[in-house]
Amino acid sequence: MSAASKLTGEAALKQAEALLSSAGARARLARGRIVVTLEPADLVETAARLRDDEKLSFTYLSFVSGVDYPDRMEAVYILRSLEHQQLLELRVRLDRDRPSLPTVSGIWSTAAWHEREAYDLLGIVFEGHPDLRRILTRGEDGVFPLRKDARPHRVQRDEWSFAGIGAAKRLPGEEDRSERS
Amino acid sequence: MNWNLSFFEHLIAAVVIGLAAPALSAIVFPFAVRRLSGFMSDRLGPNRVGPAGFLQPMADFIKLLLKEDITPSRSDRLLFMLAPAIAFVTPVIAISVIPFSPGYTIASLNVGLVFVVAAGSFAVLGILLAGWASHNKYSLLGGLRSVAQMISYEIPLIFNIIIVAMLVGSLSLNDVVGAQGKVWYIAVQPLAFLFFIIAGMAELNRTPFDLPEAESELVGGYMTEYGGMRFGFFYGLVEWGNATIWSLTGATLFLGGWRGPFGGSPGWLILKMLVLVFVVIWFFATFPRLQIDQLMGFAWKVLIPLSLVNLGVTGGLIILLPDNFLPPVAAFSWVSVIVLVLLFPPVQRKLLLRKRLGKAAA
Amino acid sequence: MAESRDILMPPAIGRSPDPYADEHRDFHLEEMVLNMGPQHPSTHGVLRLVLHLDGELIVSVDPQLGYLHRGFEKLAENRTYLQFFSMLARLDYLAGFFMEWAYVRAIEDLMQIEPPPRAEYLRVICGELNRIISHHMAIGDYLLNLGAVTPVLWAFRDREDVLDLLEMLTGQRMMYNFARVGGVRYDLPDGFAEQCRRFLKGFPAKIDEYEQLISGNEIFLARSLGMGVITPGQAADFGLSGPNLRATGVAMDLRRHAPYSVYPKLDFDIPVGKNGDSFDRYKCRIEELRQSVRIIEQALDAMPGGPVNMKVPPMLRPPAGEAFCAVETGRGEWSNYLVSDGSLRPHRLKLRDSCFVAISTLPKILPGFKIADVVGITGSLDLIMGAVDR
Repeated sequence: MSAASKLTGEAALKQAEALLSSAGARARLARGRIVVTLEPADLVETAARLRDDEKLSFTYLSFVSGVDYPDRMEAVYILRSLEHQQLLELRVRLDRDRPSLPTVSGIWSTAAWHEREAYDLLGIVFEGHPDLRRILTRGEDGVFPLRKDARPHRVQRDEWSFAGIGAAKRLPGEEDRSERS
Repeated sequence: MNWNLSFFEHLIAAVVIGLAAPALSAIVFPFAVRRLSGFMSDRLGPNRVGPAGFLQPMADFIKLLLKEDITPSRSDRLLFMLAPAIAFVTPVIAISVIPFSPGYTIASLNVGLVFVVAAGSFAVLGILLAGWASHNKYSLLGGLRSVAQMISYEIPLIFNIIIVAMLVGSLSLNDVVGAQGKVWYIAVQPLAFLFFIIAGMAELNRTPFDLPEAESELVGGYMTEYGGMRFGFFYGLVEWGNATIWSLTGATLFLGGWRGPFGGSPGWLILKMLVLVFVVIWFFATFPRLQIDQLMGFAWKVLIPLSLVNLGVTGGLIILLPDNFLPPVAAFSWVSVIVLVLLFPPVQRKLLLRKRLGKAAA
Repeated sequence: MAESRDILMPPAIGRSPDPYADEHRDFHLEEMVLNMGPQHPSTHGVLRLVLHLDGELIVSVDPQLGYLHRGFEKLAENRTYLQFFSMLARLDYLAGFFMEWAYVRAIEDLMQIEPPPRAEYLRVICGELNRIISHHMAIGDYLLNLGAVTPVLWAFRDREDVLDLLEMLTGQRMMYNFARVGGVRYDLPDGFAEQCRRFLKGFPAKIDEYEQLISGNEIFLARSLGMGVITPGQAADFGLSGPNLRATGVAMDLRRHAPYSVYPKLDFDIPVGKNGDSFDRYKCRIEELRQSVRIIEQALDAMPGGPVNMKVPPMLRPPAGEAFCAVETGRGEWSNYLVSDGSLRPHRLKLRDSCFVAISTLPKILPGFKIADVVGITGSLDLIMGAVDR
């Protein structure tokens, strides 16, 4: 990768700001990466622009995940530009009770599995996802382990099944048990 | 040496050789594999039980005998139990026509070569039954692979055996050894010997053709569900019994059988057999495994046509020069071996890359 | 055999159309579902692939993960920053130092501290030794998957020398606990530099030995050339990284692409492949072994004196904020996304692994190949389930 193609952080930030369409979106520079804050509705359009723009070309999605804050949920996307050696963080603010946003798996194929993981662990629903199944856990419906209000529970031995067919049940009194920390 | 044995002496000798040879090979060769491949991969191998580990096979044998005999619940019980025994038939009966010394063959058949080939074909039946009866997908795949493979490779194997029979002019193994008084057939037909080794590896399910068991793909192939002594039957008696038969046949056909310096004796035959078994072990420690389409392609596109050409040219030379055909046959065979060894790898590599990348681009 | 389908076999979702449908129109056999793993000799732990087969041909693949899921991300939230430390090497247990490295870099990024230069060199040395053992296992296991028994044992033999070095340096063979916030745990022990140089001197000859045994073998070439081809576009689209990405011809190495530690000061090449097939992935790893030798030699030469760690508070309380740190492991990009709320425990720690991504490409690249290639191609992708399932 030649040094000539490398954008400075400020130039990249300017270019990224030019691509943002709606009023709700903001971009800033933090810790060597561009951080863009978005509304869910703008996500797909902005993501496609960031990927296709020649000066930025964020063709590489590192991961999709989410953070459960006390008052909100945020979906986080880390993008890399292989040509221009840039790093960009997309943050999408979501409603904590019903987190949902459109999928970007049509833009980066890798998003499909990362979104499955975010759904599995945090319960973020990616609308339009081709195959939104749990991927790492075989948990109970509506229980998403990485949410701060998820409580550990013991699975009854007989109820445990191979592919999550039988519903996992809590032992008597298990609900009251507070999280050990 | 000419041994005149009474009928009962003969019977006892036959039973002892027929049963002891596979059993001995099942005990000695797995140990040899482990020590030799250990040496080749720069480690020790089993060296704790007995002096230098010599009792390790006995320990394994006792362990296998004492293990619980498990039959999978939905298997075809009768066939499941019968399969190892059927597969064991080959090494027991095929050994009967091998000439051990100038005067001694268990059964001196005048169609010994046909008998060896026919007995060898039996091995596939046991393996297929084992794969089918286990009620396991891996076993089934292993069984099917073994049928495809062993039947395909039997054809070039037989072609190359026929070449030797043509050179001798007889199907009796005694005559084959008798004809090699001046020169061994490995010097006359190195091409046939090379193909005999390749096809034999496939017949024996040994590396690089060990697809029916292919432990990294099919877990254990046709023997996935077998345990205890039934597994021991397949792993030890059948596999290494067959390897013994194949090596004895190869030694008889191409390496002069019991002939050697200081007069012929069974010792020479056994030594030559050990050399061929060493080749098997050497391949095991060196090569990766082919995959099924490459394996079949190699049999039908390379081995069979080339064996046929070899067969045709050798036959033609024998007809043209009935009195002195050995030198021209040898010249043809040596030249083709050298050309093949030099040309095959680069051509193969080029074809492969072009075909695969073209497919991937399309 | 169809009766076992109901519970064990999830429906095949997102499967690609039968690539051989036209060819086999008159000879179409019943499809078989083969459940490969989680207990299988060559799925490297507990990967489970539900294969839909037409004979030996693969029609579709559905990877099932989670058999080694230990909830690392949740556990991190319930432990202090230091308590979580000892668990990190259990993620990618074959080259655990990279996990520690990424984690301390994330914390250092939040706390705005820079470790002393000698510590950075020690991290590079430890990291590159880890890359060597990681590639050893990758090459050895790949060849074992293809049915060759000797290369893996040769790899183990030489890996033992590196493990000895790592044991000298960190006190542990696998679970190092060597990195510290603000440096590393120990300075170089006596005699380490000499023993390491001795190893580095002999190692290139060993690499040549592997190549003699493997690279020219016709059967290996038949099994690897043109197998599992990934194009550069696909690789970027799927987010592949490490040797798997570089084998497609994209020279993306985080040590150069997003330079960290003292890598900008060191001179090394980034080997790239051409076709993006299994053979190129293998070849890239072999070349990277050579480059790691160069890096360690330079690091040993250029290492300055001085302390190897700095004083940090015993109870870490990084200021609130989000840090993203990535390191180039032997398998590709390993990154941490660490969210701190200013308390003693991380608010959220996202661990991003490259093997997870590599597995997600399997449904795309495997159909049309045979069962034997499943283990061949997954072997060449170098997966480790400890890091995938987290």
